[in-house]
Amino acid sequence: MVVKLYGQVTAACPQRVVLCFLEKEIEFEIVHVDLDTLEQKKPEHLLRQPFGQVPAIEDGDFKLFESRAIARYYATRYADQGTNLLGKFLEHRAIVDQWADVETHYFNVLAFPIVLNLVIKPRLGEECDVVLVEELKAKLGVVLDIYENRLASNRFLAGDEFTMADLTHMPAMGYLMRTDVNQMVKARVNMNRWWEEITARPAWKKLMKMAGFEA
Amino acid sequence: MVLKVYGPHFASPKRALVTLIEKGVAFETVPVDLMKGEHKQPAYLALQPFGTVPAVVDGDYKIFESRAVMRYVAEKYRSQGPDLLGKTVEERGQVEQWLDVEATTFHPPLLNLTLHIMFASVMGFPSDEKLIKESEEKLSAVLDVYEAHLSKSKYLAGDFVSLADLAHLPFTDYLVGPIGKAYMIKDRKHVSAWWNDISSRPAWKETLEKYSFPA
Repeated sequence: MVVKLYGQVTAACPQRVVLCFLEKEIEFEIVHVDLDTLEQKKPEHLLRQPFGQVPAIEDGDFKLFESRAIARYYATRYADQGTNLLGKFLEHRAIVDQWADVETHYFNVLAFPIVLNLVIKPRLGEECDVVLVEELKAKLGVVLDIYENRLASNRFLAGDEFTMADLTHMPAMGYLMRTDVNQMVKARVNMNRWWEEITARPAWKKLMKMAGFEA
Repeated sequence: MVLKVYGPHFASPKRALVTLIEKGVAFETVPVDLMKGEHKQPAYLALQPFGTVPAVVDGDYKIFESRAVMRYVAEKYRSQGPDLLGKTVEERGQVEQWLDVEATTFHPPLLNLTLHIMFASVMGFPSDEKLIKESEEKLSAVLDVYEAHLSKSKYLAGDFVSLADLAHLPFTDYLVGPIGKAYMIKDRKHVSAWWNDISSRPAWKETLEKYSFPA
């Protein structure tokens, strides 16, 4: 029996899990939960994810939600298969955790409302909060400077190898790079280098194809 | 050389402190004067480039992000004190799930309440009544989900106390104390019982006794 991922392959949080599955060469099945019709708020989905969000997984009797927790679980369970996403020893793993947590607390808090305003609202015919977006971009600039400094002396966020710390940024970054925020990344030499390198990975290319972004 | 935790008087560092005390690990603390802007000085930014607390130094090893520190300590000292990560990969998956729920869903509205009710006047910005109201509503909806879950589960990740429960201690302590919204916990039977249980653990009592913000 193959693990079932409930969500939509174009949504950022489910993409985090799909990327993990692809990097770890784990077979999976996507069960579409339609966000445009708010299927995630309906009783059937609330049984899987009581906060009414995607993704959730069902793996036989085992169930889990929160995309980062799901990714960590599979990265741990399949440690010896595919890409090593968690670091080889405790101190390295903790640095992976550190930069993965930075994504939650410093990056996503800014990236999510920017993507909401620049990408999602127009699709739903809603008005973008232009003033808010400018404020968020200014704050994002400060955060990206810290990343730029980190990546000046490290090939990837947690060191020499691609890990969960890099992977967890990719879905929201993918959307940001489709907006004028891409100028902020391209203007930073090391961030640009890092983004080009991680998006050349086969797992990312496969995900983009699944999500209909590449031919 | 003993492990050092920077900024013990503040809430986020207490996630690290309570974990260290639960595991019986020796440590020292180094005060950081946020009022004097010590966290924005180069010496501190070398430890934590985002200029927030905590930062932890363990010999030559540096780590920040309080939940990453919790994971590091729980893993490094796995064989002593309570097992805060669960016994199996699946139990750990549940711990990670609820640790992420705390970070992504519980913490943000509670942080707004903390900043706007406790610290607005001290930090010199106007307290946003609308944001306070919205944040309380969001947190209330989250606590309803916790209430349903804790009616079937003694602790968040199962029948054992874990990092997921401990991560909630510092800011919930603010909620029932200086924020003045203890009713949000006390009016929910199972959340209240869970809160009484985890907040009366000796390790938490010791944390508050030794590291509460000086009056």
